[in-house]
Amino acid sequence: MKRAFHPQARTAYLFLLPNVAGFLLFIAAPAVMAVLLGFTDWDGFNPIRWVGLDNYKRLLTDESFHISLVNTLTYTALSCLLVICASIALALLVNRKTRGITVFRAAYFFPHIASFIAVAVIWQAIFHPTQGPINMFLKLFTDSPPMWLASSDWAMTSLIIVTVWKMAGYYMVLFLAGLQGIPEELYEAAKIDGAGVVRRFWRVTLPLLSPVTFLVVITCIINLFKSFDLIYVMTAGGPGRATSVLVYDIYKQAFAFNKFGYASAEAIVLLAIVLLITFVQYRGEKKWVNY
Amino acid sequence: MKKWLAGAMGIVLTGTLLSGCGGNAQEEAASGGNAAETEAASTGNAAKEPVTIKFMHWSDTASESMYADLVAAFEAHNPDVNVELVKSDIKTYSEKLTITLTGSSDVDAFAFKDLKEYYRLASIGRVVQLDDQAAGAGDALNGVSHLFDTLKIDGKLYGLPFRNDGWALFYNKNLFDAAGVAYPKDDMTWEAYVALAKQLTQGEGQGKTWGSFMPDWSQTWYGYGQQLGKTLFDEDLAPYLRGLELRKELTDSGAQPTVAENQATNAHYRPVFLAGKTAMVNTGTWFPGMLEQDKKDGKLSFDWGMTYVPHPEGVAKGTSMSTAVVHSVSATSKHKEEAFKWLSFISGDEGQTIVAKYQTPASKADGVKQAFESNFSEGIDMAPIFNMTPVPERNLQAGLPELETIVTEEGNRALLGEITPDEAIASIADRRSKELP
Repeated sequence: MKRAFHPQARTAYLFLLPNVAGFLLFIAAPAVMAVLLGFTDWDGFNPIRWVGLDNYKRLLTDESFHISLVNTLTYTALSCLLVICASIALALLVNRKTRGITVFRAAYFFPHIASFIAVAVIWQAIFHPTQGPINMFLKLFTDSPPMWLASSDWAMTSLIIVTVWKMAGYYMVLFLAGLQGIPEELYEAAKIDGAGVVRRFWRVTLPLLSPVTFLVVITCIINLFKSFDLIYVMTAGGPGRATSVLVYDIYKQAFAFNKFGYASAEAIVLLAIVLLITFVQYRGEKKWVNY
Repeated sequence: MKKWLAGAMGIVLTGTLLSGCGGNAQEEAASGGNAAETEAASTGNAAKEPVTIKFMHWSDTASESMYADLVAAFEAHNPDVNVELVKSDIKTYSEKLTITLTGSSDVDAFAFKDLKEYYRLASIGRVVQLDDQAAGAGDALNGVSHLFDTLKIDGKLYGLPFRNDGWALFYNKNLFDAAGVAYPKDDMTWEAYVALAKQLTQGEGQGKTWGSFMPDWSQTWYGYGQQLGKTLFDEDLAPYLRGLELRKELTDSGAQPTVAENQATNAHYRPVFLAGKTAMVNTGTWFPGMLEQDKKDGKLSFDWGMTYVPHPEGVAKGTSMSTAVVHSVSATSKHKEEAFKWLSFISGDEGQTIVAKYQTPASKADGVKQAFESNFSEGIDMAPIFNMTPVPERNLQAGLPELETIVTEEGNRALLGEITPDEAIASIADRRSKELP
């Protein structure tokens, strides 16, 4: 326990501060109120009635909640992994002093600043099952290309593709900063020792990027757990419930069914999962993060 | 370091807890204090001080000028009441309304986008029960009182009908003429409709003309059961199966764009019909008003016709789902009396005559009918609007919002070909037993 407050750990706290502060202010504070609501059957209007653990008991048997939970975990895990791979790859690509490189950096960063709603509408057209550019191309090779957003099997994949496209640019900037903080001498020394490009990446770049990676993993997972706008616009949780994630289900319970208490209980479960994952990562940090 | 952190966390947590409790306490106090406030407000009225009521509605091109006209007419008659319109975008209207009402808002009356929303808020007492006031209004509401029964929840009325729309079949006469096919008959079964749609489908790819187009709403298939007089709450859902099968046959045969395609392009029947890309459109009776507007704007380049919506075998012609736009008074309004005055004016004859200039009025009064009819070009048969036999589009019962979600989700899976219509109906029955309150 003492080591958690080691002077070096202070740096880590500092790194975590922006994220944690935002987390406390925008998630934890409303969540504390939600904790209380989670034990009630509030419908948004009538006097609040305490129902104890009823909401949580119902969550155990609620099929929509189970589907949403599994979808959230799948979506978060796959998107996070791919976002990190893609953003490291992009960062490596643009980490050079070629003329006009800033144009590419800006281009890769652009999806991050574009509105999610506008992006979603454009991607819907791109995924069009018959007239969309993707399937027009795929039809050259196969007669039955995937139906993308209109297929339970592919809708999640489609969302992940858009998510990676949207988020990779932002994390690329973080990784780029990390890359530029790696001293050139280390690469020279490795070169002299006979390390090739691949080995230099695995032995020098990746370990020295680990503090950035740690930050990225945590923020990325939290962001993905909260995903709503993209799903709301692109699939509305469909087809069926194939892309219904927790936040979408919470929205549905509260705004379509008036079950604010139940939705709050669901939100608490979401919060607990995010906290747990963050805690586990934090405990595992010293095993793989080099400072 | 550790103590400092723990202390800070403690303060943050206590602070939020306190503010949480404080907020709730205030809200309870507010709802508890309503009776007193209402009383105070009505004493104020006795002194004839002008009262301003806030009315919330969604805005689109048609409704914006309509409500403005209504306010002008109302205020001319009632100098002691001012109406302030609160507008919100149509797409997020229901959410906006919920948030406005959940926060301590002072909106006095508002419109409901559909009867599901009406049920959702009326069933928890968020709006005022209006039976006594409606009865007390005497003849003023005669034109719309035939709809009261369809709006009752457990026998009680919570809103006044303002607009009322059924379903009708619209067709592009030029496309029928070009194909050498007779115009759709007013007494057609759904089977005949599907066959006709297939017959009128022509071409491929970008140049394709569809035989039929419908919104993606689940009513387009569950309407079959409603027309048979069934409800989605019935023990036996078998009557709905045929509707889903026929709806699926339309898209599977290529006579109508698939749900997948419509979702990808956010396609809407209005531009599709205007572009001459579909021979028939099956939608609500608000559509002719749009078409007349488009004609005035020079966007309509062909003759169109309207007839009764198709029906299941054995059902009388002209049987159509029907649904009202309803206005209600907020349970927390401080000016309930004035708010009701406003609502009964716009649902009364004079108000409805103004409505008729823009949209399908709820009133059956002769003057209103004439006003509505005068909007339309010669030769358009108004029977589908005036003479239809209404069946409810939604049955106002506990669990309606949940059931509608289930029906939409499972129906869509069937239309996308992921499960069969049989499986979808079975799945609706199964989920209904588990998920409804």
